[in-house]
Amino acid sequence: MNGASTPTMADQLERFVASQLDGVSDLALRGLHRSSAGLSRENWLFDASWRVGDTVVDQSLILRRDPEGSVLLTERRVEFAVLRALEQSGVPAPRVLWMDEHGDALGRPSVIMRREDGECEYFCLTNPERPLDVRVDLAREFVDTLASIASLDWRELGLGDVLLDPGANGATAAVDHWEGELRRVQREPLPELEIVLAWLRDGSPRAQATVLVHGDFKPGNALVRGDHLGVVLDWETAHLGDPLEDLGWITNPLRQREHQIPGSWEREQIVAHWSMRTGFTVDATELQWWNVLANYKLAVIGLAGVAEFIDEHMDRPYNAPLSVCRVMYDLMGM
Amino acid sequence: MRPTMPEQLRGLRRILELVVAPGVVDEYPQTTLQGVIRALEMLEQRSDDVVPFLAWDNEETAELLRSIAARHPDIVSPSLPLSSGNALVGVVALDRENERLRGALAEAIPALATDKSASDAHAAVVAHMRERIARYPFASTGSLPTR
Repeated sequence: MNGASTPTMADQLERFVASQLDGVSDLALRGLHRSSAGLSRENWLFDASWRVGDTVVDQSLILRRDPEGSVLLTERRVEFAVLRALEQSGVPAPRVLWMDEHGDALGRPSVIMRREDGECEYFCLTNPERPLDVRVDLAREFVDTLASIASLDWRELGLGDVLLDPGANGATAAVDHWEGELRRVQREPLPELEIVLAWLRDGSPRAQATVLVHGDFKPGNALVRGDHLGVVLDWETAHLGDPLEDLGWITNPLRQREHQIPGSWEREQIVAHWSMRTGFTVDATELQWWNVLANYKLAVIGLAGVAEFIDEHMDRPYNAPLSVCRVMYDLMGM
Repeated sequence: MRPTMPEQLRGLRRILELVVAPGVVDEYPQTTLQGVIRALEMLEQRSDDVVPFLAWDNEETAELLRSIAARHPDIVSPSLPLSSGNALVGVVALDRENERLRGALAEAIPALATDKSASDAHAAVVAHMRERIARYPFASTGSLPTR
């Protein structure tokens, strides 16, 4: 659907980049192609060079554009603002350069950022290519970074201007958001998920603070450089919320293979280390609630894929993600 | 009727795999094509299971609703029609009935979850959902990357 539009995209992109660069010459874009990585945005990779006076600037860049159909509805305006704010924070995130907020130049809303060095390795913590002690150190680095995100002074970074603070009601806000998404995308009755929704509504915890939540923190959304975490990617679902939300996401039993090292770095170690680094207490029942929310969110994202596939906006075949309900029922003790 | 549905699906998959895929060079269409081939393979293996699955689910869901209506008429109306399932023929009719029955069950969930006297019925619904998920003919989506 989209590969054939490359020449048009190249022209649009060159005009847009030129419009963002004042007083430069010899602008050249090379190697534009769409990457198959990522389910929520179109990712177009390219290199650009230009001359400023006697200096030639060379950059490896990535264009993230809203697709015709996505599993996630997010705003490029927010992603851009979060990434700009993070530049002053010490949290390793991509450097964002330009935004076409409404898609006037690039067809659909888009941001362009630097393509950072490193490898995206979904299973870098369990893949035995690295020795165990190296993997445990890397796993600790991941949790350190997640803790540093939760510890950011988001007000000082100006994020209160672009993100809504739910106060103590981060859990209720999360359920409201994902139920809203479910109603938007569901194409059939789903009693499986109504059971979960009733349970979530009945027991939603109150937050001890408001923090910046990444929303999809995982090795698959990071670049590893050598044996270290280089940069955290995919900030499009970042929002203000409950400190336990990201912790619930990474301790989700369904995602164990991505975040844990059996016998060496398991749920207990992750929770203890995160708690020590952030100073937040972790109530086991509340964390379990967030584990269920994490799976509810995954189910809704999968159903968004189903809806977009039915509506002929999605290039990947999707079926209903019902098996995730089993994990939720186990967590809920049903 | 030859080629049968699985034979047709297998034939289409073979053409995509052996004729089309080698000529696709760019990463994005190549990955997309692999996803289509995997989906065709799943349809080829599981499409025969759809009709028996829907017939079974309709029967079980109707029975669940019947028993809830008998004990909790305030939650499921005893006047809800629940007897047409076995006479239905064809996947479209079975699917339509499945949506109707599951819609009635979905509507009952909030009340079943909060009414303490309905905890047995709620447990029976969860048990049926677990069984339905286990029998569901299709996998949700492609697998994660291997690295």
